[in-house]
Amino acid sequence: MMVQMEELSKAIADLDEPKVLKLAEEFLASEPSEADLNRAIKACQDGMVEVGNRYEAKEYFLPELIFGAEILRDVMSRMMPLLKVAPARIGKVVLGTAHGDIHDIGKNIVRDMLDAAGFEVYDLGIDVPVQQFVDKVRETSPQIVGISGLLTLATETMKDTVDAIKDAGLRDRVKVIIGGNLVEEGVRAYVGADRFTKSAAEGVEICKKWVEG
Amino acid sequence: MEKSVEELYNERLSRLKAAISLQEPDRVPLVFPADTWVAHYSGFTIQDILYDYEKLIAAIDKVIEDFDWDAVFPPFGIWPAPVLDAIGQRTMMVAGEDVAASSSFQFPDAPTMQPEEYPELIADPYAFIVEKLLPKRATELAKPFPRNELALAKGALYFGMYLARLGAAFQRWAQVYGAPLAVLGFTKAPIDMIEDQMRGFRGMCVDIKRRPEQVKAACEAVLPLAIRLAKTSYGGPPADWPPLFIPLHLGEFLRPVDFEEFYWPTFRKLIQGVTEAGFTCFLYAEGNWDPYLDFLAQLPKGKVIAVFEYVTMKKAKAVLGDTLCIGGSIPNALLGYGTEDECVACAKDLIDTGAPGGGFILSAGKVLLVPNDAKPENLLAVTKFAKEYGVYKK
Repeated sequence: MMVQMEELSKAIADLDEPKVLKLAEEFLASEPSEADLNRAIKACQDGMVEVGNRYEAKEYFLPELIFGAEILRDVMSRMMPLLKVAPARIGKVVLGTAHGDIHDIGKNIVRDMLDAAGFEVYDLGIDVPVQQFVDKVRETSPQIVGISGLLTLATETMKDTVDAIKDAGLRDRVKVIIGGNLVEEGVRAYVGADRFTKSAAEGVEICKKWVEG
Repeated sequence: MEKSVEELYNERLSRLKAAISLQEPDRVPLVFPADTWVAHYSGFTIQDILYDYEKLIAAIDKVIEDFDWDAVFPPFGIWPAPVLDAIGQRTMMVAGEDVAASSSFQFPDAPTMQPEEYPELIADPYAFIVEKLLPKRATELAKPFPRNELALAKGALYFGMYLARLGAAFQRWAQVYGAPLAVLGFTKAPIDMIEDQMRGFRGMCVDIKRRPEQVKAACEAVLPLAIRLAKTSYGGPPADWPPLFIPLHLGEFLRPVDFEEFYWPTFRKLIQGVTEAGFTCFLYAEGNWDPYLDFLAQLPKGKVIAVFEYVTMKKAKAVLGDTLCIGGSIPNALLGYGTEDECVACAKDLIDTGAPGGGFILSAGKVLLVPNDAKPENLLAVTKFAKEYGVYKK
């Protein structure tokens, strides 16, 4: 079983979709125990972490991240429903695309990678009204709020969102990270976020560090 | 003595033509792609200028008067809303309808073509686009005959009216302001056409993994349409100025090996095809193009301007200096959020590195869409600076 787990992990890291599907089918046909299922899920998540590492190393580009997340989601959708007990989560993230902006390619990759990294992700979707972020933070008490945006007009609504979280008295309970192609240090400071990133993989690493303390 | 409008026009035209043909003009040409950005600057919403062409043209007039750049960017990113309404287009989100009245167009990543449809696209791309995709992209075109054809006729009529108004404005900009057009007509790399208009970004990323041969065959199939689009949208015989506008989208996201396999072959054929037909090209390359410069160095010499959103200028000049006119681009984040001094320092650096020997223009990293893409005072400071500092010493 161990060898198979390593193979599964490697096949995901290599984005070898036919092999991943073959291994997953064989594994599921073996009527795996709860412990085996958890090991297989962990193996798949490790494979996706490696995809992120290769992206950071510039060996992979965005299509590889997207394809990796696609393969992972497919395999997870077969394994997760078989678990009797949902796996423990390492933290909670409220995530969405800033109000006025409808772009979600980057946000969706971050969502899939956070999920693979063990986070509970509350994805509010695109063009998210400021108040909806505030309400969700109040409802779910996440450690992290992630706001995504492609257009520079999102900068204003990212700032509005952070201000509203502050006005609601919730700002010191959450870390805020903003992401998107145009964000940089000046935008971060203007918005009042804790960190910024242009890279999904780096964003996930930042979130992991935050919850690990 | 003050120059006549005609002298001014000819002076600018020779400045631009010298730059694209890799010679030293009298000074570095300034060409800033002010798109829907002109609306807010001139006191309108974007919704205003999509419906009221007089407002659109007044907005551009004001930008020409205030900034006095070397060429006017025609509003190619500004789709006339009456045309869109007539056909019921559903793939772009339009100011005042789907997004705020002050928002630029936004494009959801929603494919209109399914991966199983590649064989159909490859077999007859024109028929596939007209018969299968247009009805999915525009609700009025999906209605039964004759409503679909009436909607198309109405859309075409409105579009003709818009183009007539625009054509008159082009003439006036030349005759009143002595301002040539920066670009005319447009096309796209075949894979960008398939990605932008058919499969979506996510879809295309997955397609190149799962069905690489079909993607390549589809690019070859679409190539003749991309060349035809260039010719029909130019609206007249080919000329060495204005160049065709060609925005590059997917390229920057691909690993160089994938760029070489999927993007480059038909993009290169497109540029070869249109330049052999007598056109020149103005590429707006989104993203960081450092990894792909060696490819671009193989494009036809002296026929292409390339503005990069991000590039290491020193490297670009070294690799492309003998082939392409390079656009030194001030990042929109800096224009929008930086100070005048920072923007001027950036412009100086770009001119110092890129301008020597000619084959260089100064521009912005991306088409200017909304107010945050550039503060007017930053654009003014850069313009004032570059008009003095960018003079070539003879």
